[in-house]
Amino acid sequence: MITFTIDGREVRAPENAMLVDAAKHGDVEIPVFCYEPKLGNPVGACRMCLVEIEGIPKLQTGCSTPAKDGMVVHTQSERARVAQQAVVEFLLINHPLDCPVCDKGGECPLQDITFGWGAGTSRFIEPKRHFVKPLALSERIAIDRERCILCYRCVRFSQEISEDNQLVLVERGAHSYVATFDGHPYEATFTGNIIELCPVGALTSRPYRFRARPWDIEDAGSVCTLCPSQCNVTLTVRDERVIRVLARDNGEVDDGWLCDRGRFAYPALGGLPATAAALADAPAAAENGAGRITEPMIRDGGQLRVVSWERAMTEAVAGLRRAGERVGAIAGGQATNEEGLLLARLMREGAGSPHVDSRAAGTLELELHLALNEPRLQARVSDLEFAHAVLVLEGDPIRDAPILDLRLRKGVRRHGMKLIRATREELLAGPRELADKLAGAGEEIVVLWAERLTAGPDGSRAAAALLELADALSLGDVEGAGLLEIPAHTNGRGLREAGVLPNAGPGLSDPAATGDASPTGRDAAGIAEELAAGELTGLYLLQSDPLLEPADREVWERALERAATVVAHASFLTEGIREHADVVFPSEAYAEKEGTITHPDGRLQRLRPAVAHPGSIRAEWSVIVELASRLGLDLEVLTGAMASAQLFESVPFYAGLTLEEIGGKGVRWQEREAAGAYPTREQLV
Amino acid sequence: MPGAAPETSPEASAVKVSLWDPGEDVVQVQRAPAPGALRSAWRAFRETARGLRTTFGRIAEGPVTMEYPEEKVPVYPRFRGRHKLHRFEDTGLEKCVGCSLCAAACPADCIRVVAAENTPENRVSPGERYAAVYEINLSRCIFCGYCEVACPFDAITMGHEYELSSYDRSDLIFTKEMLLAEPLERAPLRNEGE
Amino acid sequence: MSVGLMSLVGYYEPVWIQILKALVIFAVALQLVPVVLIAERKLLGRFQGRYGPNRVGPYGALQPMADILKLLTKEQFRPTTSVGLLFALAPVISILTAVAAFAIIPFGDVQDIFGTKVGLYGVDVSIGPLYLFAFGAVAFYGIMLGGWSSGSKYSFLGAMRGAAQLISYEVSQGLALLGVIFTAQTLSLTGIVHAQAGMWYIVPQFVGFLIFLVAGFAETNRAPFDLTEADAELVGGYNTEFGGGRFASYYFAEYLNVLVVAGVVTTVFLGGWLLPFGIDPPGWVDPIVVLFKMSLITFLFIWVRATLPRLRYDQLMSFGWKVLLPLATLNALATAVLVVVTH
Repeated sequence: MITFTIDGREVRAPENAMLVDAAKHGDVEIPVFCYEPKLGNPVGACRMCLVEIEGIPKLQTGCSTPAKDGMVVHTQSERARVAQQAVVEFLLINHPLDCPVCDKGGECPLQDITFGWGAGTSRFIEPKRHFVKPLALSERIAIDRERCILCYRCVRFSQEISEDNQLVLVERGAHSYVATFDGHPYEATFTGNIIELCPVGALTSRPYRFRARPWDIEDAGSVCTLCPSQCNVTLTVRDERVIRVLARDNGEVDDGWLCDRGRFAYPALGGLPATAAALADAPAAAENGAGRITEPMIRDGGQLRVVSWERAMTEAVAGLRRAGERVGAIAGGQATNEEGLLLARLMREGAGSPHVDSRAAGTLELELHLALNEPRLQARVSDLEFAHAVLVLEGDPIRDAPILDLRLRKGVRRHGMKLIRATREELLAGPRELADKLAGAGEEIVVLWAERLTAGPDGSRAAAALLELADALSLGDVEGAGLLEIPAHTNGRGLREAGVLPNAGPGLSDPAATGDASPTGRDAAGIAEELAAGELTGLYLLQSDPLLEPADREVWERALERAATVVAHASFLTEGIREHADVVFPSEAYAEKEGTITHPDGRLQRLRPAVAHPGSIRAEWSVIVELASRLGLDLEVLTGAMASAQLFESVPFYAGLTLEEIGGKGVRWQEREAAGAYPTREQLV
Repeated sequence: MPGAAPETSPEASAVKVSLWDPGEDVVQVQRAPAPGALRSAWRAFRETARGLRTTFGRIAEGPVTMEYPEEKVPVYPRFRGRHKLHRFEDTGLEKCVGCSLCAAACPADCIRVVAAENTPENRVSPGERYAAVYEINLSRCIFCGYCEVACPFDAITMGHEYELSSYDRSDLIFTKEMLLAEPLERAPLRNEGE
Repeated sequence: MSVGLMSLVGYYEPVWIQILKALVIFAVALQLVPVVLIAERKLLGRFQGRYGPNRVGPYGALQPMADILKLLTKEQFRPTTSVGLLFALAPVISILTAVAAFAIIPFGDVQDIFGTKVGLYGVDVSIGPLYLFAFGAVAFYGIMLGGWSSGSKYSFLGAMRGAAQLISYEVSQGLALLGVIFTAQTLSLTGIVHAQAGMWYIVPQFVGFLIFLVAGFAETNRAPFDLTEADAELVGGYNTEFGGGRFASYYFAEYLNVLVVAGVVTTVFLGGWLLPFGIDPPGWVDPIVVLFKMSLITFLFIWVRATLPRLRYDQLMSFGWKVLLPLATLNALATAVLVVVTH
């Protein structure tokens, strides 16, 4: 910490913090356009942050001048003010006066800074520069080159953050503009972030174009459940509709970025099935929520028909009663922990069936689950950035959990992290050899492994090899090292910990110990086989459509064909639901959900309802609770908060959690005291 | 004399509770005539007669009532009545670009604007955007005129119509078409100074 | 009875004439009340610088018809705490006494109609003023019973006020008439009119006139003495709980009482059907003269109502007992002395 003087105040700030940041410690604001710490090193392009520093003859840019001990800075002196006003005037030479039609109007830094630091008048009476506008930079982004103040933020993002290198500045001087090479559309995974980065209305979202002004809307914080990254988002709500999704900065989860899928999937919000394959399948009709199921339906004469809740409930209860113990249940990856817990209880306690699964890759032995989930082995997302090396095992982060890709790039670019890839075969060939190769990279090593590593018949062997690798690298003992799994589904980890596994109860407990049901539950593939064989007759699908899973399609088709009763919670009539479900309950989108989900690194995050349920949709938990009560089982849940409380009670290592503690940024259970309740390998044996 | 607290000697003031001085609050109380006094009886009689004269004078004056539905009170030019949306006279395009600043300025939160984008086939206003939905809930409007002040294009102004009652609340939500149309009946206007 | 009457007035009226007269008087009274109603509302409007009712019929002339129609078609209801029989009876008493009092107002002298001598009045009793006060006392039951039987505190308060007020002012009213009776030396109302041939009693009995008028305001519960109703404090007083036809009856009785007081004042102080300056028109003009004089008094009633605010209750009492009563007594004494001295 150093002490410097700004505007006559003695301010203590960390040494070498840029003046713009250091000034905030003394409640002094220095206006900026191009400065954005997330983008890396400052460039000093916009000159808005000019400050006067005693002893330096010329004004300096506050964004690129580090604070030093004893420095005396003025931001309100005559020279600084003249400079600020001149910069504003300069930026406005060609900036059109179309704030009323500009989407940024009302949340525009240029407006704010002109109001706060501008002169209020301009000496320029010449006609402004004109461009054709608006141009489509891509399907999703419109560019208005007249409004651009050439701050370089978008170009820097493209070249230094997402590293797609598509955006460039062309031409010179007043004629410069942002473009892609030869006018190709800007297509990449993270393009939407430049809309948020743009300090003026030059880059705007085309789906959001003219949909609302900042005073028409309400913001609601939630968590995107479209992939396992679980990025924190702010939902923009107008008239009970989510019309925009913005990133919500959480350094431990998303680093302030958001992928295009999370940002632009909102017209179909909630409709979106869990997997990437399904995303492609998601009908174009899903635009604006059309095609979303909002009423309960039953199959009547081969066709699904809208009925009342009462009728659908009666039908579902009758079907489940017929199936009795011969029923299986599959929870989709977007289900919350609470929903998973209640579903598992409905199956185990209500129907007396142990066949519950949520894991796409098939189940492992309980001890392997326990070992892989062990708290001391778990790496955090931020460890990816600061580790000496990251081993990506059988995964493709940009597809499975896109936001982790940006984190890896950041680690490589800024911290010299070594990125190593290995396949499953290499791991199986010899974890010790792999460890030896890695040992030279450094001590802090994070292994980023995808759930499908452990799929298939030799999944258990791969899991054991992974554990051996971790052991060889002693990942459990090094701070900043560890394993980080990318589950196949958004809430894969949470559902597992909530007990939606055929061989584990809540908190990965051994169901045999509680004696509720026989421990010989079958996993998803097993359920399919037994259904096809007629051993099971009923199937309960919680936001899941097995036909969308790439694996086992043929088995599942036969299974669904054979099943006497298929009860499904679904948002869209995807193939499996459309052709095979007997009762369809309309399910919530994540923007409507209340509950918790667990991040792959063990961070419990909270979903909060941002909009009301459309149509006659009911909360999933309440549907499960009512079904259970009709089957004679009281789940003792009357509100969403009670469901959460039950979850925290049932899972030993979540004990004592409250929704308030989780809050807006989430809590990693491994960092809480209750993590001591995690069953160790020794206990199990 | 009310309120004139008697001066007290310094030694007495130590224990004395000072009288409350009503000061300016003193009100002249009109008392009834003193009983039995002839003069008072006369006064009562005289005042009654004066009252009778006053009321009778009103008959001579004639009624001042405006018989409203038949006879309308003319309004001043700056009277703030029902809003109007305007078009450009030459092109016929709407002046409103759907910027929603009126809705932001509205203290009663009675304006709802949903904007849309102009296309070459469907050009509604000269700018990039136009108001696809423009609704004013007149049952909420307080006729403050802030919307008029906020409008950067003079697209909305306060008109003179004040006959806005309706049998149905929903009829008081005026849509863009209603606000753009000329009122069926114009409120009579009075000139400044009249 | 007719024999007794003949000995009193010196002519004989067949029974059918009397029945006919009774019908005519009742009809006239019924016709007059709506006229007074609309006149009052129109005049109050003018006194306050507005039009008054002008929507129903030409110049609003049919407004009372509309009002009566509305009141009569309304549901008859009564509070659960009320006493049914008395609640129904009270308005009837009010209206009966008012009509009965109307019977002795003379609208003209005895006329010869198709050879039958007919007095243009209901009945000319030899105890006119006493008859009036007697029915006035009964009328008090209309208010008292109405207020009490309603089972409502407002009604009861209004009725109690009414009782005290009527008793207080009846005394002054009676004493005020005493001077006239001394001077006229008769209790027959036609006799009193005849006695005013030289000079109307308003001149020699001006003080009596004033006292009678003021007491008349009080007796009819009109402003500024409308404490029984006092709509601002008692939401209507004794008639709070009455609606529809029963309320209309009270209303009707109130205005009929105004007419009775106007009729009595006309008869006793304004020379009845007599015209000043010795003008002696044909007999059919007499009722017109009386009605004209009555309308003047009614106008005064309305004018006062438009002008004076309601008294406070203590003011009402002290005015009645401390001002009117001594004044009326003095007036009666002085007249008595003068009558004795001059005869």
